[in-house]
Amino acid sequence: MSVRLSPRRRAGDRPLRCAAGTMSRTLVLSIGLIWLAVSGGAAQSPESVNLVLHWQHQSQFAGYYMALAKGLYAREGLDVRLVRGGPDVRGVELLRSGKADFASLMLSSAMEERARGLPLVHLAQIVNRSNFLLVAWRNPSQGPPIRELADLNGQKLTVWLEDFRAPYLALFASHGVRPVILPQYCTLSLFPQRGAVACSAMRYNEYHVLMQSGIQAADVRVFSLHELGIRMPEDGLYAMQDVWKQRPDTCRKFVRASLQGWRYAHAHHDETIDEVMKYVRKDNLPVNRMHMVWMLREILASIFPAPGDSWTFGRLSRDAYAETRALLTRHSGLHTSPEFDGFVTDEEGL
Amino acid sequence: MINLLNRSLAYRMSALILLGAGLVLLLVQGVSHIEQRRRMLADAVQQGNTLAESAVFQIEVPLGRAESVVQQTAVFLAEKEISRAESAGLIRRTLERNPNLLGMAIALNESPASQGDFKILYGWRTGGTIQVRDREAPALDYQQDWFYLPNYLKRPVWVEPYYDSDAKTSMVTYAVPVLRAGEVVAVVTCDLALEWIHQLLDALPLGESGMALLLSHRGTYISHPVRALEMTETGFSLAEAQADPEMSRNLYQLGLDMLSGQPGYKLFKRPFGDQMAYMHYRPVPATGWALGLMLPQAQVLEPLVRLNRIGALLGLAGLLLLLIPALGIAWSVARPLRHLAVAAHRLAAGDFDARLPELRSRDEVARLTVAFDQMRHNLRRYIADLTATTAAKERIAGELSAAREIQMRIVPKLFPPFPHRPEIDLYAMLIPAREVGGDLYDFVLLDEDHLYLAIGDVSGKGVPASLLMAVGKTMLKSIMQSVRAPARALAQVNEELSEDNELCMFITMFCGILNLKTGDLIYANAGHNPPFLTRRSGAIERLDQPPGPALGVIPGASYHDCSTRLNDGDLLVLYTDGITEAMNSTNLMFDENGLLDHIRCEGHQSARRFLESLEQAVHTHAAGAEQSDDITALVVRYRVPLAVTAGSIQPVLDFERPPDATLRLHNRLAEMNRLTVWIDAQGIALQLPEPLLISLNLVLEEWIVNVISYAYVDKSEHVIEVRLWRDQDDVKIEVEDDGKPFDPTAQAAADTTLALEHRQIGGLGIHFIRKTMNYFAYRRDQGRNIITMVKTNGEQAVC
Repeated sequence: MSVRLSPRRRAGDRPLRCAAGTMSRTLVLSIGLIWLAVSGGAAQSPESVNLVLHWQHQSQFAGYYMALAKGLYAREGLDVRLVRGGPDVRGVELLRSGKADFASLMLSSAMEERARGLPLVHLAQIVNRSNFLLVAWRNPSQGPPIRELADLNGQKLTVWLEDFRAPYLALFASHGVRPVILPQYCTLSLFPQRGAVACSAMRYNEYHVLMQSGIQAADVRVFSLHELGIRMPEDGLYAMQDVWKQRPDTCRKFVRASLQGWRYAHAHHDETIDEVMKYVRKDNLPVNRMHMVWMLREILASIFPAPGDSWTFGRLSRDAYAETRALLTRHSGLHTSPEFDGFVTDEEGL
Repeated sequence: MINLLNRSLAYRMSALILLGAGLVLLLVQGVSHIEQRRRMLADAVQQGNTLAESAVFQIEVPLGRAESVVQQTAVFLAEKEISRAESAGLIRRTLERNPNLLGMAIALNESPASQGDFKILYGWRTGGTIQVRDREAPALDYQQDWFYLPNYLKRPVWVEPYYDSDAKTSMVTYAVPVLRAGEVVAVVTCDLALEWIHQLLDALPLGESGMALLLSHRGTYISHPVRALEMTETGFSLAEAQADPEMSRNLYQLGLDMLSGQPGYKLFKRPFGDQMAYMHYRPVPATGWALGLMLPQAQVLEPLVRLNRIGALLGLAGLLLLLIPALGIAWSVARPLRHLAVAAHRLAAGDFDARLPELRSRDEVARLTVAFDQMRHNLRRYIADLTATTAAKERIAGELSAAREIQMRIVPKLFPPFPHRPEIDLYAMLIPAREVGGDLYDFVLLDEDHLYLAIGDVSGKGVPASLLMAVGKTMLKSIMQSVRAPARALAQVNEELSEDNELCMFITMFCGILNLKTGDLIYANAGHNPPFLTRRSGAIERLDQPPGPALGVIPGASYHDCSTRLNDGDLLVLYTDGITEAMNSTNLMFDENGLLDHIRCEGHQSARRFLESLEQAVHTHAAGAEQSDDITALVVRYRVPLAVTAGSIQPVLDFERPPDATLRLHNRLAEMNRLTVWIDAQGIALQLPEPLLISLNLVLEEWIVNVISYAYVDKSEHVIEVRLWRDQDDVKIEVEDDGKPFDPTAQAAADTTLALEHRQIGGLGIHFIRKTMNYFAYRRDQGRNIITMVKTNGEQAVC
């Protein structure tokens, strides 16, 4: 336990995804500090904007680091500040309050927020292929061996909360599986302690963390949600509708440079990893380089379509949107959902 | 070096001794090395395990103390619900009593069952005092592992250690659920700083390059000499970073082994430098951590390396010391051998008195010396014997050589034998098989017109054969001189040889007499190979009338004369079986056919050329095979004498061109002066030598006087034409007259034995011309007499 009374960030935590929606009210002080950091030193020209990342610095955001490092934002006349995410930072809140211009969010989260009335607009779809996995012990300490999804019936497993939960609920519902679902927070601890037979994991992150803790591929059964029909695009770039209406050029420039940054990262792996590790070290994060290498490779594979993939880099297709909306409506209690037009700008992929 | 070893026995022996000693030394060193290495490694394993065991014990003691403190508190809380104030007091007192604890928390569960007046209380040490406060964001705390894990696992948990940047130390939390009726109503925790673990592990006696690791149950480095790896890297992430897949696999497996919960050790290859090292690992049972002590093999074996180095140096020194006696022994063995070598060299140079080394022992060298001495004595005796034998052999060889010379002198071998008789072209050869042979040939002019020829072969070879051959030859020749009948002569010789022929030696013999005037050959054969007669036309006849027995075999045997006529240019070939039976290395004989072939090819050559080429042919046939028999042959080509055949053969010189000078004379004796003047003039003009001029003068004068005196029956005037050609030393003269026919060449030779007054007139003139000129011919052409005379090369004239 941290000697700090509020666990803002703990070096011992794994950089795991964590739904932290319940803590927003306790973070006023922190956010104030960030606001000062973000807007205090902004110059008149070039135009200052900021991007709130999903999570702590890692390869998941490599494209933005490279756009910044290679001067792609500057070339568009933008002075971009990257704001780290984490359990104590919530991009949606920063957008709502107008303290952030852009945010990297999950499509499902954004649709739910929009359905709740937050006027978000979708600027670009970065991750088009789902990275969600369900990792299960092949031979759990209790219960039958796990070979198929149906073997999870009545078994304890951990799943993320809130907006990361929807795909799993959709998976279980669509396959008629009824497991005992325990919450999963920032760290992946109950599964390795064998307190659960399965856990949710991102292919580019938690899955590899398990590998790095001595769990071998033969020890676990991995279910890919994408392959099991739960095809939900993930990370995208979002802004408030006002920002989009008032400063469309800025939005376009930002999207254009960000996509260029991703292209650069795609073409320069080693250089990109070096850049990622700079951010990691600056924040003293307990992240090793090999993990970042893995993460970059996997995230790029879900961003850039391989031959045979149906999506277009940077773009959200109407079909993928419709599929996501159907899944959310059916399995996640999303009653009113935004129409594609109006939510998704037609300026993306520039 | 190799050169030196090859040259000297002493060096080679020393080298062998050193090599042997070195090998033994190496073997001892090697065995000792292997044994010591084995023991050192076993000791190191033992030592590593002991160290690991003690280190784990030292780690577990404070952890166990903390566990019991927290568990007691949990037991207490399970019994009774306590207020915020009581809880704060409990935390404060516990921290006061347990100075190794950094902090402590009591967290009530959020569930509605809990009725406490606080959510989470946390006490910690700061600046020497203890503070206890409510946590500001309990909702986030409930998500933390220290609450989350015991809450769901319902058992005490050592949470994964972490680095606390506020406390600036690695920390670990022990969390125990408070269970009431199976429900988790609260969680009690304590925090421990892990700095003491660093100190503990750093203090372990692991040597210069050994190191200690502490891994969490998920493989994360809790303690590592490289602090930057702590809490960031795991044993598996370092394995993953290896470029070499095998190294990566091995390190990954090592991590699995370390976390298997069983103590053990493993020899593995270290990344960075590829050194082999031992990893001794041991679980920390309370926490699920693993302690690893890494000891490089090189470090473990370092004393062994030192020991080896000392051993090698001592061994080297020992070998160098050994070199001195080794060289001494080798020299003492080699010295007499060297002396022997010197003596042998002098012996080879002919010095039989070279001093031998003294015998000091009875070893192999001494035996060699004795044997050498014996050899020297034997050699000396042998050489003396050899000298005597050689002298005897030389004497015999000299005598044999003399015998051969005598034998060769017996047969005539001056060729051409009759240079003044152009009608006889004769050549003979005798090539003895050994020093002296048994073959013979012979020829002699019995008188002006009769040529005696003989060829024979004595049975056997060598001196006896040659002696018999000399006897036979001499006897036959002398008998032939008087008897002049081959058959009778052979019969007489046979009688002589048959008497007392105890050695049973015999001679085959062919002999004959050739009438040079007529070409008639009378011959008889005593068992000899029949000779061949080659006609000018090319036909070959074998003179194979039945021969009589060989000479010396049958007393009283009779022989028969046979005869044949040789025409002009015919070639008579006498030979012995040495020619026809000459064999090559495959025992193929030259054979009669070989001889006949040769006669056909070379029969037109002169006698000498014919025999020389025959000898060559026989040699070629033998192709280096040893000559087994004497090779003997005699050939004679018969030419009809000039006086007999004048006009029938071509003049030696045949001048087609007009004469170089011509003189016309009238049939008056007074014209003779003109003749003399003319000849002198031609002598000057044609540069004829003085003797030739004189001869020409005499011959022409003789003939022309003859023509003027006797050729004309009337008294009218006639012209006599003299024509002269000259070619170098040869001179041809023609004299043409229109007198009555007269062939001087048809006149019988002058009988010079008669007294002058009885001789036929003119006969002497013609005789003189014949004597003087080489060629003398007559022809009658359109009522005119033409006399042709040739004088060649100033040679002696025929007849």
